[in-house]
Amino acid sequence: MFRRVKLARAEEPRSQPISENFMVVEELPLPFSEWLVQSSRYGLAAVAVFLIGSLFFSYLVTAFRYGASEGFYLTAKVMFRGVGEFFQISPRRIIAMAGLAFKEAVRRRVLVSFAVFIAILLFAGWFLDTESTQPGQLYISFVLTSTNFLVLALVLLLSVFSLPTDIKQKTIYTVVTKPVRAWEVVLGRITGFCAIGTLILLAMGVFSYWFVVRGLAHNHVVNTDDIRPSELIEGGVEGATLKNRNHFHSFPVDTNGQGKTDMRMGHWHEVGRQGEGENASYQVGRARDGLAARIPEYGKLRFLDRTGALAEPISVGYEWTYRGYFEGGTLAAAIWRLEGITPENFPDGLEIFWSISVFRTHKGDIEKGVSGSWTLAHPENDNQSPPIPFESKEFSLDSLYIEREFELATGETIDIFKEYADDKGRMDFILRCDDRGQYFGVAQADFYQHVGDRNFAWNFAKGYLSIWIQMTLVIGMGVMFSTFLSAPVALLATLGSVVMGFFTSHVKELALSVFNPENSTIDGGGPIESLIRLVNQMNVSVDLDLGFATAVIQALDAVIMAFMWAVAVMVPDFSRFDMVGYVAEGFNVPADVWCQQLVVGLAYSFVVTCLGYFLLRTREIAA
Amino acid sequence: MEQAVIEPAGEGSATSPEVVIETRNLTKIYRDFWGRQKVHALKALDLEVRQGEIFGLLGPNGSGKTTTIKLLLGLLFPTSGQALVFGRDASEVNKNERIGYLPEESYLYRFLNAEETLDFYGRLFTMAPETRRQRVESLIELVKLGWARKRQLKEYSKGMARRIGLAQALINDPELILLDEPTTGLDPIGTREMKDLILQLRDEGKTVILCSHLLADVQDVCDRIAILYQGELKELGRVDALLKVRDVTQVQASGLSDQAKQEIREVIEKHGGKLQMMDNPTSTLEELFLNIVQESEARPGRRATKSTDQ
Amino acid sequence: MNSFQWKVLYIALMAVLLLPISYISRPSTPPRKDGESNPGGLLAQKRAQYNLAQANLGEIDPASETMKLALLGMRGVAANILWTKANHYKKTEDWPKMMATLEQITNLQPNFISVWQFQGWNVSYNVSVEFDNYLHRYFWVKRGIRFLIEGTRYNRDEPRLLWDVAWFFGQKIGRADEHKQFREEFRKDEDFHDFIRDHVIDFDNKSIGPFNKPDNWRVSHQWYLIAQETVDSGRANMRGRSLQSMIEEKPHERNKGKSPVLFHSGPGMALINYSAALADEGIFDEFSESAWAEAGAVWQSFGNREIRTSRDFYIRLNEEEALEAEVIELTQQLGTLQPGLMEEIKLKKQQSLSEEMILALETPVDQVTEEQAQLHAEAARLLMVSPADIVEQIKDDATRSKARWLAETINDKMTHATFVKQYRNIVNFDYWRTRCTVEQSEDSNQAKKHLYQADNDHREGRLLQAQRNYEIAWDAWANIYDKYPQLQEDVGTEDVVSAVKRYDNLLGQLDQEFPADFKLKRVVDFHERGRYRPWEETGHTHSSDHSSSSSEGPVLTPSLPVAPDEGTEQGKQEAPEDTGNKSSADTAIPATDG
Repeated sequence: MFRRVKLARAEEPRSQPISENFMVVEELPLPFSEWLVQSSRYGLAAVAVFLIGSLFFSYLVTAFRYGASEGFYLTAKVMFRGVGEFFQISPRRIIAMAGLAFKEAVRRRVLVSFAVFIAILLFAGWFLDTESTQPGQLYISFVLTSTNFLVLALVLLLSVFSLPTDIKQKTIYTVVTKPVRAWEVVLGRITGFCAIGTLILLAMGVFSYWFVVRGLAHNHVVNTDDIRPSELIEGGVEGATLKNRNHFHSFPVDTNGQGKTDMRMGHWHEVGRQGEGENASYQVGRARDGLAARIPEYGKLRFLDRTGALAEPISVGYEWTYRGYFEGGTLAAAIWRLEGITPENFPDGLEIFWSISVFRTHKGDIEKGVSGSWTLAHPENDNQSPPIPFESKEFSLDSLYIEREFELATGETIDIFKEYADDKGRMDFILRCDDRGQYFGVAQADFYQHVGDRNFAWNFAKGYLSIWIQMTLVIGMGVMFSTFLSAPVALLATLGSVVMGFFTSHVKELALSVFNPENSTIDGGGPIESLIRLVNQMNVSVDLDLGFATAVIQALDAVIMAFMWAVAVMVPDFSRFDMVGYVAEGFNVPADVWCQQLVVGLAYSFVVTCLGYFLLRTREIAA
Repeated sequence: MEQAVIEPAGEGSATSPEVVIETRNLTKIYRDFWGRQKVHALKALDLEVRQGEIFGLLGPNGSGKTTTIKLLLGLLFPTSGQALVFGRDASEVNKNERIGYLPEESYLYRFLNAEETLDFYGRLFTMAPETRRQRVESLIELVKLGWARKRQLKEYSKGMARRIGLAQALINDPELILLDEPTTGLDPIGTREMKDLILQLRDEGKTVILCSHLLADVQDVCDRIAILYQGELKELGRVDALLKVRDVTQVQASGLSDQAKQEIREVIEKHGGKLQMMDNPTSTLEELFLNIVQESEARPGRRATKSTDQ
Repeated sequence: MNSFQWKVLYIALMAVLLLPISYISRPSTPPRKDGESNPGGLLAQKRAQYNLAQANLGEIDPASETMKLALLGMRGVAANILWTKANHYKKTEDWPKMMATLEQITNLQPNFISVWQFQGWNVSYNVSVEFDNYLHRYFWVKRGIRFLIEGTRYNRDEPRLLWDVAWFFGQKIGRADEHKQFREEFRKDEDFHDFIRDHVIDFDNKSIGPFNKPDNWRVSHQWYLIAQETVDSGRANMRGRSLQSMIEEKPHERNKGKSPVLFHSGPGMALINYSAALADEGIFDEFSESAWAEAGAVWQSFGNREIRTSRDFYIRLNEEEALEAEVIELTQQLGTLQPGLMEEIKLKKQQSLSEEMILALETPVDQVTEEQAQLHAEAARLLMVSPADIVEQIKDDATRSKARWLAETINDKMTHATFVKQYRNIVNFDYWRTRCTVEQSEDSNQAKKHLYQADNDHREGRLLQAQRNYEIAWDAWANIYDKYPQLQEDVGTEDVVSAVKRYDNLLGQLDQEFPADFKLKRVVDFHERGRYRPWEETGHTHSSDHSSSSSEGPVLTPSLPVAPDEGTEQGKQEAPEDTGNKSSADTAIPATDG
């Protein structure tokens, strides 16, 4: 039969927090190449629409000023000159301009913000939940989030005030009367601010890495009186550490005096014995694996209903529809198909991880979990392994190590790769719930194959990369807006775009609810209607009834929301740049994800730079 | 005895040097946010400036001098008409390689020091790093700021700022130099030095356009001037020609007692004294200027040019 | 006016506005040596009067203060955002983040009591049940309690919070579906004991239950006492309002306060539940014996406590009998003032009745129609002779004034008695009082002990021994019901009846007839209304439909009747309404008895 290797878990936590990480992935990332093909089509279309739109718009404006034909001539001239000047861009001048922006930022005491950051970190210990069951997650998401907002706020202020000040103080006269292209003015600003932002981000990164590592480092003391002979290891002993940081570990020690503690709060320690007999003492090493970057290999999930037919999963009534449920004690099952299950990839055997949600329709045995089982199956023929039973554990990661070769009840030895994987290396993993009347709930990302681990520091850096991309975008937008708006207005415009960027999907949903109230789950109408409802304390489910005014209000709302929708479509979706989840939960940020973000970031930066160029080039500097 | 009147230079002929600046019917109207006309800053200006001359733009505040310069630099876009620099549209950036500009006030980055300032502007031009360093050095020498080269510009006095402003305008060894109020904020010695420098630049074959309301400065250095008033060109011509006044005799004498003065008066009447100086005096530019203003108030429109204008 | 003048005007206006503010907010100064003290401005006085100063409310946490300062008065907005975030995390089942967010909210608004109450409830009741493993459930129940206790640190002398802590300790640990496991976990949870020890005085003596370990019900009792003490000492700090005055001044906040009678029933109920829990768990040692005695004593003293009614007078729950006796006594006195008057009035009244009414009165009770029933009630009401009627009919002035005084006293006493009755009903006073008495009797001890053993024997196959034990238990139960027939009516009898069915089942296994002279016939009949009468059956058609009772988890000793659940009565309506969607019964409502 299968041999189950439990990962250093001695016994169920006794009123101790459980803490193994698992991650919610609402949508698995597409492979980068596939994504690139898909989104470049969309992206290019968007760029084309945008280009034609803005050309048309600028033609309208110029035609209004100078007449139809002159307007056309001017628009074309500006266009072609823009392209021409693009090829005259000189790195030397960009660097000079960037240097200027950099010096300006430094002389404007941006480093103060770094001091603020340090202060926040120093006081952070007060704010962080000391009883948290997942301190690692909390620390990491805290530093990443605070860095994110601090850096964005900083570059927002930096980028927005620079050009308008330059124009207002007329210092720009001496610059644009030199052979500097507007490209270089815009790019120089962006580059300069990016440079200083990058430096600050680097410093913050190093500091917060230290903060996280130091914050999680701890030790335990073992009271020798608690040591007793082990029931599991012959000649060994077992014991428990004293409590520190709201948790303790229990551990076995083998005859050589070596051992590992159980997993607690996402980490474990090494235990070693010093001295012999009466004088033996136990030393606990540093916390291990608290900061990890696992590489998961997800499969494709499908569900079977109680008759064994392919079907949608059952909803048990949760508002959150992330997990689908299936019934126990029937033919219902969840099946993941994994690829790349070959002896080359896994020479020793398979290590699988899962986490499930349990829904009980009757109490059952309170003291026991619901029982379930795993079955390996060949995707094409009927080969199935005997079920491997397990007992459910909610909100925690469970794992199983399946050896490559095992013996059937008939005495026959079987190689799982030969028996259950097809020649393309695909294998089905069938999850069943064995208790009648109880349900298991799973999502696609709830089951994965642990392929390996990456360096945590590198993963942490990737988390900072996403902040860097956001920073670049904010700088780009700030500089772009400041080419034609005064500083406070540009500040508001950029801030608005960023805030909008964090809520694009929500705004789009809201807008659609106003356009098409019948098909929407969001009640309450647009801004004016909501205001009226607020003031009158009117329930959202009641229809607004103000006679003719209702139609007017709703029409106005539709116009406002159409504008909001357009803005939401144009601004970058900042919520996509969130890698905090990955880093905090201890999963490697897949290259697919960060490459996508990088590309999106660069594309937006390019568009924003172009906009900035034309806006700066067509404005009268001295007006 | 009357001294010979200097003849107007033979401009506009085929043999004349290259035209550096040309404006055709250049007009600028400032509009407000709603596109309504606010100020008619420049009305149909036609100008030509040739290589190697010092051309002065004169006029009271708000007459359109600075607007003209900004239009020439591409800092403003003409409402109608054209501004050509080196024969190309003023909004072209390439022309800037050959231009130096000293703005009205020295709009410089106050957080940079003199060296950094010049180095920064130098990098914006296509020149070898070695050349750039040399030019920075020599310009600091030229404007006599060697002692303050490491000080941030925010610590500079107005005169020092003006001089470093001039240095940045010359960083690329320009062929055309536009100076907006070059002598404001300078002490008399500084003013003199500035004037000498302008003349020296002309001698090096560069074209200089300066605008000022300090008439004395212009009178000293300009070859030709244009007088603008309320956006209109009132006078254009050689300075000496513009200022010559006929049928007036000026007498200048010294070492005379009161009695002698009385006698001279008599003698002149009776042709008895020694004539020290007898000349066609020039009016001051100031007088000319005030005349134009008065006349314009009385009869708006372009002034009927007298004699020497082209 | 030019801009300068405007500015001057603005500054002047500001100064004018600032003057009264600075006047009313003058700080108070402590008394100096010469005895002079300055009470400060109006604001300072009010602050002192209503205990509004931050330091009066409880501990001041530097982190919390920094956060408040850093937000520059926007903390309300921030707290709102965090609240939605907490809801989101709850939805997406991200418990650590939810806890972290809750902590931030309470850092921002540490004196917002409802937040502590609502979220403490949320964690203990709603989050805990999301977990499948009962140990994890226990962990989250505990976290909710710790959260509440944390709240009492920032809001000391806040009876609502203290009372809630007590409630959670008792009801959530002791009454949940998993109460057996939870109580067991609590006994072993030394870390938690350490934590509680910091808050409860003399934890190690007063909170100890069986096995020499702390017991959740006893801990609950301690917290009820703390809550009670803050009210009794007058320190109770409900933002300046007393328990009762709050209810009166702000009727719409009624739910937030506790009715005093409920509030003060806490300690007694905790001990009663403690005693009942011991019996449930089969503990019949010195603890269980003294437990009921203690509970009875505490309940008795609860009856002697003066409780303010909603009509502003004070009553004691124990005085009902005395009041009724007094009323009878006084009525008699009234009757003797003018002998024969009462009969006279009665006769008059009878004559005034309509024919239908008389008919309705005369019809036997089991034959009345619905209309007649109404008439009957109406007639009975009309026939009542009130003291006022008597006073009216007395002619002699001296007697009349005496009669009036008597009538008023009677009315007064009757009102009191009515209130006492009502208030007793609220907390089921009589029932618990009887129960405490019964449980202390030897019969009761015998009955429960033998029933428990019988069930055990039965389960473990010692059938004859089981039968013997059952029979001893029946004798004891019969004695109890003889002494306290009112107990028959109680729902708790159900447990006895189901034990009878198990006994019936056992007899079937032993191939014996159900005894025809079964002593609890009356009880079973009363409860089953004749549907189940095993003693009448010939042959052995022993009920098989109850064999499943053994599979319904551990068989419990039929403790005496279980009270109408304490849980439904309290003002718990403010508990979170979105109780998650799990069907478990104890999500929103405090656990029902297992």
